[in-house]
Order: sequence, then C-alpha cells, then structure tokens
Amino acid sequence: MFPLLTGYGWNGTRYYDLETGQFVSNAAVREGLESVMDASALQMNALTQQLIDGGISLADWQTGMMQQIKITHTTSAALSQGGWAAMTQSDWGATGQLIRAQYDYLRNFAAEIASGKQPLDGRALVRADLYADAANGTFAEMGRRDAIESGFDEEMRELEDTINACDGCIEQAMLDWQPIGTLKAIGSQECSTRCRCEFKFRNSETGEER
Amino acid sequence: MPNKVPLGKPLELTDAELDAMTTADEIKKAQKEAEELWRKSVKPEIADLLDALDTPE
Repeated sequence: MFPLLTGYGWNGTRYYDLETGQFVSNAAVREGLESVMDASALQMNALTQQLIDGGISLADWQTGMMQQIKITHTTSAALSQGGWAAMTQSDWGATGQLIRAQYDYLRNFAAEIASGKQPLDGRALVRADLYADAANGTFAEMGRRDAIESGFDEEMRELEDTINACDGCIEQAMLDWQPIGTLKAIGSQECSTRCRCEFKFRNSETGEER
Repeated sequence: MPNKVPLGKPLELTDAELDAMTTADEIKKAQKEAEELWRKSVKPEIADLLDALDTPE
C-alpha cells in the first residue's frame, strides 16, 4: 500500500496539490509573494525607524537591510522556480546576481544617508520599503529566465490594470509580443518596484503560451 | 544638510566583496531563514508550497 501523498508538487510549470491533483492558482502564488513582501517591508520599516531614532548605527542598519533583502529575494526566487527542490545551482547563481543589484542600490542609499542627501525622515521609510517590493521583480526575472530555458522566445507585458499603470508600463504593454528578453524589466519604469505587471511568454513555433 | 542623529559610517563594501557575498553558494545559506520568512508570512494553506516535490512532466 502506498502512503498518502500530501503537500504540493511542481510539474515544471505550475504547483499542484499532490492529493487532489488540482493546480494552485496563480493568484494564490501571487498572494503568497505579496504576504512575504509585506512582512519584509515591516522588518525594513522597523530597522529604518530604529536608525531614525538613533537606536542603531548606519552600518547595523545596512547589515540588517542586506539580510532582509537576501531572504526576501531568495524566497521570491524559490517561489518562482517551483520551490526549494527545483532550485538548480544556476538558479541560485541567478538569484545571487539579482540580490547583488539590490545590495548595490542599498550601498548608494546608505551613502546618501551618511552624506545627508537622503533625509532621515518618512522619505527614508518609503525608500526602504521599495527593497521589499523589489522581490516582485526578482519573481518576474526568474520566471523570464525559466521561460527562455523552456524554449519560449517571445514575451509581452500584461498590466495589472490600465487605470493605475504608469506611462512607461503602458508603453511597454503596447509593444505587444516582442523577442524574449527585450522588454524592460518589471520594476524598471516610473512605478518602480510598486509595479505589478506580469510577463506572458509565447513559443513562436508552437504557439504555446505561458 | 547632514542628518542629525549619530549614525556612524556606512559599511565600506567594495564591488568584489559584494560579488563574494552573492555567489550561488553564499545565497544558498539563506534558505533556512527564507523558509522561515515564508512560513510566518503566508496563509497556512500554502505554507508547504516551497517544499513542493519537483516532478517535471
């Protein structure tokens, strides 16, 4: 007799319930990512408030932010790739490169705080929050990478909604299908890391879409 | 204008140091904490999602 399987599987494209075989909706996956980003934003906010209050040094703040960035983006990458078991050495490397870019932005943020160019007030709190939201861009980039490896050769940007989308995102969406890897990254337009656009992918030979 | 609170200096991290901190093997070390962040953040129904079995078609 086989033991009853519980939990989830990843079929290379989607999560599914091992017991029922039902797919986990994209909305549920996205909701999980949003929850992680919200929790992370709270931590980053608390760290930044401590810095504003003089409770921690700038170096301690930077160390704490880097740690939070690392675990948030790692979670996002793993979610995008199908969980821990599906993460290849190459995926870990790609995740590291995306985190490296965030560390670079943070180094600049810290330097601007030190110089006074970045005022230590509510604006610093808002800026710190962006690092948690940036995990959405990591989710999208890892998905794009996976699509390329799976043979998809075209991409298009889908707006979360047309009312709140920024001009840059609308322009990108109007380009319709383009060679994969040529559209601007999610989070690169005016709405920055608040962007909730998604990429769709297509195989131009088979017509398959993801 | 300088910020008023005593901040100290930022970390002096070179590009090479940032590169070394973000290799695949270094990032892998964050898995346990990332797993904890996931589990404490999401609804219980999907808490096991990241432990999905990899069963490619």
